[in-house]
Amino acid sequence: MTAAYIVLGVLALLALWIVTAYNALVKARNKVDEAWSGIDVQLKRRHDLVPNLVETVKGYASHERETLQNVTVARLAAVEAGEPAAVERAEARLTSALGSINALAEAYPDLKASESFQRLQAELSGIEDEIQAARRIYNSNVQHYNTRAQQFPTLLIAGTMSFTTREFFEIETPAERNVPQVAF
Amino acid sequence: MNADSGQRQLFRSYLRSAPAAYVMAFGSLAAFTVGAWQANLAIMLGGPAAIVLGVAGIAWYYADRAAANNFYFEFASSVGLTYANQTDVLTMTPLLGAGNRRHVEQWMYGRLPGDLSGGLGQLVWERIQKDSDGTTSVKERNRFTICVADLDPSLPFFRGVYLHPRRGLFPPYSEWLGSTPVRTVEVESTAFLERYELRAASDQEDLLVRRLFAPTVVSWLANHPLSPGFELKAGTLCVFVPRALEDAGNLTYLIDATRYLAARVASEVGEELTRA
Repeated sequence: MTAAYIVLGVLALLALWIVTAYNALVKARNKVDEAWSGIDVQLKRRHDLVPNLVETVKGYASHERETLQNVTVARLAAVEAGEPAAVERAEARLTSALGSINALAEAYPDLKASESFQRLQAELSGIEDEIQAARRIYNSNVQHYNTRAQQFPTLLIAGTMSFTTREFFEIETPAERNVPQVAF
Repeated sequence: MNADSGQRQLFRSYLRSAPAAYVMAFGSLAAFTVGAWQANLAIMLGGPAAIVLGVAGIAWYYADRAAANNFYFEFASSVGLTYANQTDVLTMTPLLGAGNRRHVEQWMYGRLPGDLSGGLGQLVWERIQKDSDGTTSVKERNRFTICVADLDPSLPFFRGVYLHPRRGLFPPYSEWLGSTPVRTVEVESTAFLERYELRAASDQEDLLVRRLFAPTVVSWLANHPLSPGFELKAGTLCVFVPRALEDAGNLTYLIDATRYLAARVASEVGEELTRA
């Protein structure tokens, strides 16, 4: 009889642990999804700003059609991207394209001095800061979730209940990836 | 530089002072005489030792206080504030009204860096318990470092935002929100939620809180070395850490945190006013 009680107690503890571990995994996964929505909101703000930026630049540098078209195409691709990996690529391309607008401003002093261009650039810079912060939050949540899902014994629950690990999100342009060479 | 800087020099100078020397000399002599008169060797030897230790203890206590006062006075001067040893503050936010009895020590006030009107000091708040026989006793005594800034324009928009560091399983201090009607606000960052509890007044507009806690702010708070909490209510921003900060570096950190948060609030208020 005593042995039966012990077995029952152990089973109850095991069930309690499974419920707790499962709920913790669900909570961590939901936080990853929430953080992704946070990135999405900031990216959408950037996408909404790009047409205004393009219009402003057009007013001063209308014959730089290729650059502006690159930005428009990159924006469209970024808007349509759905999966994190695709978003990562599309946003990196958009960041790179927006960088070329900055380069244009150097060649057109009137554009650089334009109040609306400066305002849009400041707004864009603010949004990019928010994107970076949202990305840090997302990656931190992913790390937290992945650690939970890969740690023993929680990985037994994660494995059997399809809690797959998530990928980190990086927006990196080729220029950022290149390590500067220092020569003396 | 910190609140203990100069403590040893002051201690030595107090011990070498004439009053201390007289008390030690005459006290020891008196204790020795009493011991001899009572033919008690313990008093003869222990009495003078106790007198010397007592004087040293008192000298240490005063040296400690004087060193702290000097430090806060110097720090206040270095950041353009006025030093006012001890004061009371208006209970504008729940923390400033915490407990049954409270006062602020080492208060430094004036224009904070960032052109903010406010002050910095150590809030000491106590919970007093009255026993059945009418006697009162201090049940809990807490010392928080606070930095308060006046943000009058935020008054119509922020009815109450309370960001408190998580107190853990065995909280070192009790909750002070008490009967204030609040609701919990969820933020997407796990690191932030491990550090903080965010609550808002029940009549606080949710969208404004969401905008105030933009990703940059959440990320900044989640990684700040002091883990500062804050309360924003009635046009007052009170940034705090639940312990005494006694060095120039950390006090400057707290002022910087207040400046950053005040700028964030001012920016949100500015946007709201533009919309209006």
